[in-house]
Amino acid sequence: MQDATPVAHPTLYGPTPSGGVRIFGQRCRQCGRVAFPRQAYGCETCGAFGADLVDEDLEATGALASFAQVHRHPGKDIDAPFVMAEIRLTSGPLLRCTLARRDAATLRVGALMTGRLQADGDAPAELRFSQAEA
Amino acid sequence: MAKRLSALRPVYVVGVGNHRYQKHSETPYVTLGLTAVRSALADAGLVWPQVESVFHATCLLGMSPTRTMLRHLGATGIPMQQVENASASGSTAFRNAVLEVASGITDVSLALGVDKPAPFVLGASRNGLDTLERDRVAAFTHFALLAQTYGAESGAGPEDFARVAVKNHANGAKNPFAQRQQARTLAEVIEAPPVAGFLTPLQCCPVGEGAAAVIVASADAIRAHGLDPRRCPRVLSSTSRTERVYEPASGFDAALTEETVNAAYAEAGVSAAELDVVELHDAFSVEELLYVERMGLCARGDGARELKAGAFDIGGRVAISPSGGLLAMGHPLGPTGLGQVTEIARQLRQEAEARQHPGARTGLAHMVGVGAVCLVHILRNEA
Ligand SMILES: [Zn+2]
Repeated sequence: MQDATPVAHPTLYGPTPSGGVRIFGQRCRQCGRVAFPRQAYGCETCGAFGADLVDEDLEATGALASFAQVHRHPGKDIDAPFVMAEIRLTSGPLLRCTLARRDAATLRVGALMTGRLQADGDAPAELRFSQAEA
Repeated sequence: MAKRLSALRPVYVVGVGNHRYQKHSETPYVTLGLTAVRSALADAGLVWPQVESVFHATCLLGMSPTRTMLRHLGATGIPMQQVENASASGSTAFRNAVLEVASGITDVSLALGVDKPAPFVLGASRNGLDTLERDRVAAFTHFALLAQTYGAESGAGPEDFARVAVKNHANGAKNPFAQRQQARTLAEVIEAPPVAGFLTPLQCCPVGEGAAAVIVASADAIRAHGLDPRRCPRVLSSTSRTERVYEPASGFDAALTEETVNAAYAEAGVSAAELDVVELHDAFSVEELLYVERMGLCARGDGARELKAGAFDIGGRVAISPSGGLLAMGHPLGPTGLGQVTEIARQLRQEAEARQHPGARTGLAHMVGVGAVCLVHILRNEA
């Protein structure tokens, strides 16, 4: 069974029994589009909805499509610097997310990335991607 | 059967007026708007009672600010409405005014952009869905991600992006309506601490306040009111599209631009090579390189090289953002798309003074807006 690890975005991802992370995606039965996040409104490609949109757990692996070192950020409660990245999941969807590291040195587009749950202190665990071990 | 603009009656820009874009101030929006409208009426040689409808582009003034501003011109009872379409609000108001005249519903319509900075909420943030990047992708970070991708594909580096800002600040220094009227060196642009990725502050547009007004009219009105047709460029096309599902997803701004511009070329019967002046959505420097390529103004991957060679300067092959663009003229939201049209009209009349692109005859205005939307207009001086 799923353990009780609290996560920062419980509608977007959760822990696996083996200590990994699964991303909550969905597949359209009509057109085959794999999408993230999960939603019931309708498929952006073909408009199918309801029972045509089926839950699918996505692996947190993909390729780094782009990244930006953010030096300044206008939002409150968010401290720069951090690295915003685009990751093309192996299953298809493009995610925008914060990387585990806070500096972009040595990153390169195309690198294989893997995500894991990372908790700082008592804060809920966040999905954070890093360059996969070679 | 759906029709193109060219199948309806011709529409002309007959008057343009501006209130300078500037930092947020105590100036009431009413003053900004009345300044631009009175200036456009004087430019056209029209008086207020000859205007038959108003489309007012604004994102941030709040509910229903239009009539309580324009009543001070004399409350003539004409239809007025607000238009909101994010950064493309002004372009959308212009399209509405053009379509109303083209359809024959009115002979003289006003498209007006007036805005002032204020706190706002993006509608999409209330869509009931969480996101991984929630609140962490500022507009400059979105375009820093695109700059990284563009750089990886084309080999462009920090200086290539910075040169867009150098050119557009040089143009803005000659524009009395620009928020930033100071020329900048490459060193000034590039050596400032970056905000995100390649982008430094002078590669990000200022969002302030201001106003821009454009009066459009039919040929009947030009004759009836005794206007000079040589000062009245024709609107050859008006196209408006929204984002589809593209691959790769992150390049939607460029993909949406390409298909909207291609629709505009088809409607106008104009090719990229015929354009003399282009005002495009350069809210961030990288956008100019992305869009000139997708508009067919140079080959894919050649944007930075052509920019460096001067192809996009005033007096070059095609002047890109002779007004200074969003980077230097500024981006006060509602007025921005209309400010582009005021610049193109002046260029096509040969009235742009120190910014004049010699022999300008055909111009294109392009805006994208968050959501995402894209609007493109092509104008030509047929006189
Ligand atoms: Zn579908």
